[in-house]
Amino acid sequence: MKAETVARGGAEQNNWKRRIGVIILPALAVLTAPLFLNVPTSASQNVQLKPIEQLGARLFFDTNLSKNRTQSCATCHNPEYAFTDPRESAAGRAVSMGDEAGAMGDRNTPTLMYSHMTPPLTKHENGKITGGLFWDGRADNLQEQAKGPMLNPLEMNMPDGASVAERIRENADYAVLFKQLFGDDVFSDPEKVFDAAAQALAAYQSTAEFSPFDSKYDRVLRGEEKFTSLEDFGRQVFLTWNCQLCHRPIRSGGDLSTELFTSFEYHNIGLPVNPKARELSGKGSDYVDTGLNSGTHVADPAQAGKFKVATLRNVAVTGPYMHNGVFDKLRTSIEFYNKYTSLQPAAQINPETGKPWGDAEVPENLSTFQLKTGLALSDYRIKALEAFLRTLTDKRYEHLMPEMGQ
Amino acid sequence: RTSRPAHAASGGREGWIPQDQDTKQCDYWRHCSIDGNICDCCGGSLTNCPPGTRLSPSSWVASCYNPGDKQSYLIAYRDCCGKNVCGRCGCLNTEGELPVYRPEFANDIIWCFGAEDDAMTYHCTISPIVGKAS
Repeated sequence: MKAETVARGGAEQNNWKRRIGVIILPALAVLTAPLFLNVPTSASQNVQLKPIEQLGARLFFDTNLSKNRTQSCATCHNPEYAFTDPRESAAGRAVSMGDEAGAMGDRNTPTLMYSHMTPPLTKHENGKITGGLFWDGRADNLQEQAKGPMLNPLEMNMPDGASVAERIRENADYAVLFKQLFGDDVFSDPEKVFDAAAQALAAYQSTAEFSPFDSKYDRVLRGEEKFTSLEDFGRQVFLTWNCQLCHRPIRSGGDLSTELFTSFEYHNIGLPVNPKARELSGKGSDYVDTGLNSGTHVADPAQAGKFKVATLRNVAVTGPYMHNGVFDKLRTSIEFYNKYTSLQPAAQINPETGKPWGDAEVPENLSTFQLKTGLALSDYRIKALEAFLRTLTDKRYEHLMPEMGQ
Repeated sequence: RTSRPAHAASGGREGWIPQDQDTKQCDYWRHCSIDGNICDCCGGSLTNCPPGTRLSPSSWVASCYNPGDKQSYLIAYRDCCGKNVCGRCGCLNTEGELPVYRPEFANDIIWCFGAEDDAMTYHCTISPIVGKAS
């Protein structure tokens, strides 16, 4: 499985390389030509990248930044799949395989689309915590986040920042570029190189390619298209039911044309363990993922079990769902919320397994106010919500959408 | 609604002329489908419940026209519950209101479902914007 994956990853990379001429040629006119050959970027977005963004794009696709040189950022955050991981492992797509044979993560690889718009982790006076990257918010910004996977033994597996700097140094093109962008003395300190690489990766992920706002939803708001009646009803349900309490489209004082469908808050919605993913992660049956309280950035039992509210943009093409990829279908993810409001016995059953949803991995700190609205979603409303959520798919990923309910 | 006074303060579907200056008036544009009392007059604000009341997580929605920027916005009205009806700034507007079989647009319902402590007593209503109307 792993060998196949690597081969496929390589083929994809070559594919990117074939396409880059279209994007890069204008840049070559103003930049040192040999340095920017083979810069992969999205063929679907005719975006001209600044030099630091182009460097970030090169690093993003560079498998040399993993210990065994088998994977890059793009291996798990594949741009063809809304920057999520399309590779199948023994746990399906729930979690991602790392650079080291057998290494598996314990959380689902989230999309990078729109992630640069995430505010830093902030602890508010009312005790609420918002923002931050990763499912548990442990990185304040993309630059900080970018270092995580490179050094994570279950991911790209580099031992330290100095080793990453060494890999960068191997590449003569990089050496010139890093000096151009970060100063002649950048290689005097490996940490400086590592920081600079993270900065370039963050710059790339902050380009318009990652936040096109060209979904049907955006097009409808701009008056270019119309919702179907089902989509329109789905939006009404979304805005009047409890969805909007957390996947609030409007950030306080935010721009209505750049809604991200997350409040960036942290909530425990009582999800069960994903047994297969947990088993493969090797963390053991006693392990509990306490989310926001699982690192050193937040040490507060009252935050245990809470995870960041994900953006719902591109949700229809970034399954499986939730922090542990426990649900394969978008429809199931919507139905899960009925567990808290419906008195129907069927609402206690996960339709994907035919068994009860399972106990919450962390039964404490449930967001009961948001979850127990007293109103259950009818089948038609579930369909409508799914139809609405599908309109949040960026144009370049619309072809990936499975049939409704799948 | 049974537990709140129905003040037809600014009429119904005919003749709705919204203004964008005074949030405490029934003709303030965001109140285009409000039914009950404006929380701004009851110790709350346009988007926050008065102290001692419980914000309901459920709501009804209406598309209201803002004369200030000439755009229409979706307002998801939410009730503040758990105390007796406020009594000030009673207001009933019905722009886009639909019967209860379309509850997403029905403002006769006491939308206190899910409020903490099962507080189902209506006190007042807030009018937050939740999106641009399509």
